[in-house]
Order: sequence, then C-alpha cells, then structure tokens
Amino acid sequence: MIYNMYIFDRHCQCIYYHDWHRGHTAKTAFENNDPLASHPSGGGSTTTTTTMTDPRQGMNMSLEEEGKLVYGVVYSLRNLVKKLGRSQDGFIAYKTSHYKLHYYETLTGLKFVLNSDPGVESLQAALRQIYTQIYVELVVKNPLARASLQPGQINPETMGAEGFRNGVDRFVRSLTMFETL
Amino acid sequence: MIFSIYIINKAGGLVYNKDYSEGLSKLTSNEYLVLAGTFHGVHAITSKISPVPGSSGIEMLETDSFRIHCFQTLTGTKFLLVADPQQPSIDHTMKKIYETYADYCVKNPFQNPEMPIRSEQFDVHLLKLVKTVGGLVPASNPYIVNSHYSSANFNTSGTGGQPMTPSNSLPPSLPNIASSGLGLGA
Repeated sequence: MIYNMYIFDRHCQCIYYHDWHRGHTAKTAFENNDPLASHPSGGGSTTTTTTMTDPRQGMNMSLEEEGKLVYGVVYSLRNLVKKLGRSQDGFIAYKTSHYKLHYYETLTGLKFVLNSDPGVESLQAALRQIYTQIYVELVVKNPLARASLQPGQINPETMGAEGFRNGVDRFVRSLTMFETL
Repeated sequence: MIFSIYIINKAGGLVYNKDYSEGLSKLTSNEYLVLAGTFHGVHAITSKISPVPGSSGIEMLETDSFRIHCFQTLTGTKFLLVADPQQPSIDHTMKKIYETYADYCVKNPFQNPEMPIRSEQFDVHLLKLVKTVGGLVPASNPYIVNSHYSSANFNTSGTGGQPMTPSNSLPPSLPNIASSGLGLGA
C-alpha cells in the first residue's frame, strides 16, 4: 500500500505532494488556495474537512507544516547516518509500526520521500525511476519550467509541467504493492 | 554482527553506549550524546508525520551497510541496536538486552534511574549476550587486522609458561618435523 509522496528541493521547500491512500477513510481535502493541494483523484472526494474522518485528526497540522517536519526528519537521519557510517553510506528507509518511509536523494540535492505500509520491500529503485524517467524528462527538460523559476515557488505544476503529476500517478499505480496491504 | 548498543533515557539523554565490532566510524563522547538526542527527537516526530493514525515512532532505520533497531519500553527508555543487515533474530536479542537491563540496572539499588549506567555486571552480561547471538566478529575476520595483531602480540609477550597458545606452538612444531624427517633418513 502506497500512502503518499513528497519531493523537496535543496532549499527545504516541498515542491511536490501527492497522496493515494491517506488512511482508509475519506480522502483528506486541503484548502483550495494551497499551492500544494492534491488534485481530486478520488471520485467521492469532498472539499470540506470533516473532523471525524480526517485521518490526521488530533494532529492539527497543515500540509506545509507536515512537509517541514518530514524534511526535518529525513535531513536529521541522513546526517546521523553520514556521521555514524562511512561516507558513501546513505539512508534508505525507516520503518515504524504503521508505515515505512523510503528515501532517495539525487546528487543535486533533490529529495524524494515515499510512504508505504511497513511490509513493503525497498522502494528506492522506484524513486530513482521516478526521478530519471519522469522528473528529468518532464520537469528538467521542460524549458517553460525553468523560465518561471523563483526561489519561493518551485512547484512542478506552476512550472507548466502538468504531465508530471499524471506521470507519477500512473507510475505509482502500476507498482505491484500499490493496492495490496 | 552487532556494531553497538545504546540506551537512551526518557528525556533523550544517552545513559549507556558500547561498541562491539569495528566497521562504523568512531565518534567522540560528545557526538554520541548529540546522536542520541537527535534520534530521540526524530523518534517523537516520526509518530506525528504518519500518513495513517496511531503510528509508533521509528522502529528500524535501514542504510546500505547497517541497520539501527529501536525498541521503546513503556516507560520511555529506548534501546538502540546497531547491527549488520544480515544479523538474525533481532527481536529476540532486543528482548534479552531488556532482560539484562532489568536484572542489572533496574534491580540495582545503587543505580540511579535516568543516570548513566556504570555497572560492571551489566557490561559483562551484555557482552556475554552479544557473544551468544553471534554479534562479535570472529578473530579470523580479515577486515579486523588490528585486534588479531594485538592478540598475537599478547600471546608472544606472555609468560611463555606451560599453557601453550596456538601462535606459540606453531614455530616449535617446525623443527620437530624436520628432526623426525632427518631421523628417518638416517
């Protein structure tokens, strides 16, 4: 089961967010003016946040805050692993009782983070594939994407790379562990 | 192969750390404290950023060359076990470490809770435990030249008395063979 995915750039900015199975209840709806708002892929998604079915209830955290926390965690763990291990060692994944976080970092400092259920094998290869086959092809090679590049707003969607979200969506749905728990 | 064991108290302070195998970089005691504090904080956050409700904190961290297993007791003490990815039966080992901790630290009237653990019995029994689960690298491991060398040194610099060590018994055996061969020839 794949839960959600984040991409962070070098400046700690969350440039992409996508969720698939965010809890088994109704899909979380984010505010419309949120630049990172997930597109309504589920048929029955609503725009009102109901406190009872919100899987993040009790956490009272916006997506922006959550993105910062995720970045902080992977950044800290990456440094911890670098300090403890040898230089070429990288942090691959961590597991808790309910989810597993997979991590892939490119040489340019782009960080790909994917959450799945804890039984899944390493998905670092899949993240690498998302980078090389989708991000590079649809965002890096897109001249329009670079034209509107501003420090504060580096969002693949505002960069005119609408195909990117569709590409990621199709790729992740094609993974064997997408639905199975 | 078990690299090291850390124990972190409920406030995030490092109360015990011990390295068993070489392979990871050596840190200063200050860096160990920072590491423990970082892990404590990350552990708390990882339960908050869960995509599904009710998650625990980080239980296993995976890297290319080692894994960090974390076990948190109900009282908030965390046991970290840094081991090889191939190390078997981690859960059992973790349980045994907790038992050893309960026997020689919790039941020790001189052990101040939440304070650094200074108990020789705990050290001894933990080492014994790590040995029984195969956590120590055998001396024949070619990667650990240092310890092999030092043990050989220790043997030769010994008293040279009756108990013959393997490294000492090897050189005398050569003339024996030679002389017996000569005897046969004559």
